[in-house]
Amino acid sequence: MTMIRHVPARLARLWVVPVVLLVWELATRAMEHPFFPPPSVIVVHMRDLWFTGSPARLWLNDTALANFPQSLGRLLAGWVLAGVGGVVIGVAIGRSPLLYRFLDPIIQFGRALPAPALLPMFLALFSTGTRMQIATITFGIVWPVLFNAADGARSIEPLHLETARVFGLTRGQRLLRIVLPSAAPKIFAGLRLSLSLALILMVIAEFFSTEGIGFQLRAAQRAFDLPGVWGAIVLLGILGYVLNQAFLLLEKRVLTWHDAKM
Amino acid sequence: MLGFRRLSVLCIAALLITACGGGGDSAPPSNGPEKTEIRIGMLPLPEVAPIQLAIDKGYFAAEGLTVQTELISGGAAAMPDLVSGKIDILHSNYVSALLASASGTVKIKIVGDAYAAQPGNFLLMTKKDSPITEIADLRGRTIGVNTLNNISTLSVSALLKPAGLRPEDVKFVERPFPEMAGALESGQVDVALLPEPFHQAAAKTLGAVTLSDLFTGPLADFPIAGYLVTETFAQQHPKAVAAFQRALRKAAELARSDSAEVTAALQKYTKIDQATASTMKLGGFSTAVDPARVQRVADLMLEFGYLKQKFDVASIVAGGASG
Repeated sequence: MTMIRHVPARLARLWVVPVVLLVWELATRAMEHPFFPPPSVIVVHMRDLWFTGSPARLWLNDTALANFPQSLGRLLAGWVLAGVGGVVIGVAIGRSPLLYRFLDPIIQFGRALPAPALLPMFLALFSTGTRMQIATITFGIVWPVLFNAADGARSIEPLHLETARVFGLTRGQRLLRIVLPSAAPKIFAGLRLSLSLALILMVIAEFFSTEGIGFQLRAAQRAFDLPGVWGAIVLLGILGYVLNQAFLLLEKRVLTWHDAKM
Repeated sequence: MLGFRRLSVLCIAALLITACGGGGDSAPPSNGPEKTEIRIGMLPLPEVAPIQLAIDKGYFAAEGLTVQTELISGGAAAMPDLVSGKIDILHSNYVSALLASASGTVKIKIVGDAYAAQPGNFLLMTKKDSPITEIADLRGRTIGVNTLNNISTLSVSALLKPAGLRPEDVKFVERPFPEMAGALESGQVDVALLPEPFHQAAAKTLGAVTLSDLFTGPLADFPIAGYLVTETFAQQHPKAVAAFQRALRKAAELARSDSAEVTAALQKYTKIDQATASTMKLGGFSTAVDPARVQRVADLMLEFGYLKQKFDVASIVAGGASG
């Protein structure tokens, strides 16, 4: 019921979108600057580039199908790896003060390294291709998850843990029933941040590859195809928006389920 | 009507600028360049040696120009700097220049020619003991180039054709020239496109093997790069452009006749050591833009789909450039 009642309100908030598009269109038409094509030109060019396929394939043509799924797959693979790695290490150092003291300097150092600067090393280690891209994404985005997981695991109510111990819960049970659920909101905040970072790193890694959305963007830049450049930028913006919305849905599911269980 | 008004505003602006420029205590002679401080964006490649020579020998100064150089990573990447006016003259490969012009992105004029390829200037190389021994072996392989959609990818496409391969049969990937040998050695690319002096270095330190000269057969004596200005700049500064052209021509003539001068100039803006520099085969310095020769680039671009329709190069060659 609440969902349905909210729909008109949500739609009403969307009035900003056409207004922004209109201002963008008018401004670019007035500027007549070749580096800033109007959105109407960009949209038509995007259709010609990627969306001339059949409806059965969501209108995606061969170029789109040869680039989009790969990009998205690498982004999600890097994100899942960073998520799992970040939670495991984060919870470990969050629960163990000793481990924290040993690992903290290394982690602080690693966090400060910009992943784009390490690209040549990743290239040398993993060669051009999927493994290099996933490594770049994972390394670049693991930190927000790791820190949030550590923070979440550290700030658990001691009473909860003691009660669990009194009731004879094993270590594994305490981890699954107390530690992870308590740290979940923080972990999800970290995961959301790293999802948007993953998109950025995906593009940067693909500049040095042979396919993907980032490669398409670089090729369009080199061909002085500015509507194509903007098309890729718009596509990335939409992808970022969709990923964030999908994540919020997932988060709501998981966190309500855990709230209900508590 | 709007166009006319805009034009008149531009004219007034140009008049004002010139008036202000000439308002110093020592007014330049009426036939001097409209702009005396010229910034040139160029790649640190041997082909721009005449610019360094013209600075060192005072050829620019004799024309009333003070020239500053700025090192760039590629003609395409530096094109926005030309548009914004950060640099006045851009050294760019012809493919990027014609793409920018034909797509309407930047209205450019070619004011000078830099270099035409000579045998041994640009090589496709493989790792030592690579299974790739001829062009036909390139199917499905990854080729490292400095910029996508530029003269490298175009010339490789032309080289593939006699072997029955199309550009889609290989994969191109971007790597800066200084990182290329490393990319070849670690297997990131199967084949590397290397200009001088990078191919000498790759052969010496890594034992890289030459697969083919890039500019050979139908691509022999292929024009590589030129010097560009925006159309607006050419219109507003005809005397400065002419002064640049005279100095450049003089320096190119020196570069062609005296390789020791080139070797010395290279030390100033590249990291090429004396020993390597003296082994380089630099004979392609050009003194004038030959529109017919640059048209070969445009025609090849049309053949491989870089351009959608025929492009007349003569229309963007600035007056005085063809000598």
